[in-house]
Amino acid sequence: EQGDREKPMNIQADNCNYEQKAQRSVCTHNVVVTQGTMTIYADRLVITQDADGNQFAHGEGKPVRFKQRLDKSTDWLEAESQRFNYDGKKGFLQLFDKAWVRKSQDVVHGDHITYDLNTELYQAKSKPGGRVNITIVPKKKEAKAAP
Amino acid sequence: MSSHWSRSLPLLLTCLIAGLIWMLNRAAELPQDLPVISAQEPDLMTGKTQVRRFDPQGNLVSSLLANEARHLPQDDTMLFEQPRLVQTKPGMPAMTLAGERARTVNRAAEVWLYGAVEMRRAPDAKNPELVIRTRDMHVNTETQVARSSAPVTAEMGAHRARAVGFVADNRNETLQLLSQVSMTYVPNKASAGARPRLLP
Repeated sequence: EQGDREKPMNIQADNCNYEQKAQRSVCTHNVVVTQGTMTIYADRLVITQDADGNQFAHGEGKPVRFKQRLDKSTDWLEAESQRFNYDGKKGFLQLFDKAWVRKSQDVVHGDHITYDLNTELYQAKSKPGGRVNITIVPKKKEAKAAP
Repeated sequence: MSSHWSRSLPLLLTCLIAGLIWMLNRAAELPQDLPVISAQEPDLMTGKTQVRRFDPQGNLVSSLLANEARHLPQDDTMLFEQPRLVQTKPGMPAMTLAGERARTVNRAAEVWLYGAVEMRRAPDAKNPELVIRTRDMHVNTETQVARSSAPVTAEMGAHRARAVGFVADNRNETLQLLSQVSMTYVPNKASAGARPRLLP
């Protein structure tokens, strides 16, 4: 949800190391990031920041799990992968290795899925020789009122 | 995004510890020509103590206050009751360290703060006041490392950080939060439109 960005963000982990020179934080073991309806679970999370204050994150897990409610909807977006990269400058979340994204009931599987946090659109790719698998569940038509 | 976002909690905690290390190293220096009676007996005792240090321009740069201070020849030990260190370097926010009891050895090469410890960094143009609370902290002013295995909390305006145990290495500019880490960061309206931030 777009409103998530105004909510407090909480990062929990078993431990965190912060390197001031490199402007880098490394949190490991039971890492949970929550902000509004968004939740990320990972085993390891590395956060860096560029000179303009844009943030970039790299996470690993077995798997990394991502969940966020869709904007103006009761439906959720859920995703899993072995690794993820977050680009705060572009607003992209990239999922790698055994990745899947479920939006409502539609599911995409691929080796590399890029999710645009601004438009809520995603693009899926597979490794050479692999295949992308998309399942789209047609919306049930509302039953017409009896005459 | 304003540079406010680069002044994150861990960064400020490391700066505060750095200032503290600098203060401790200078505050505990005492006159040298004291008569030695017994290495384990105080050769200097003071009641309400205040040691103030000025820079060449006459600016007050640090103050050490304590309800009581004693010096023991062995290991050049200083013992303080209710120590309170205030650093007021020109152009920098004032930094304060308050403890229940403190012990320094070898001209404050090492410092132990026993019981509750509170560090404050006054607000400045970019940041609200930063308050850090922990217990039983050890500072090595030569390696510039401060550490505690007790719970530590840091509060800066709406932002909060909590952990059990920390190691702040001023020389390498690193901060390790050892366990049970929880950091809460509240974006203000200015940044709320920006993308989700993962580094407070």
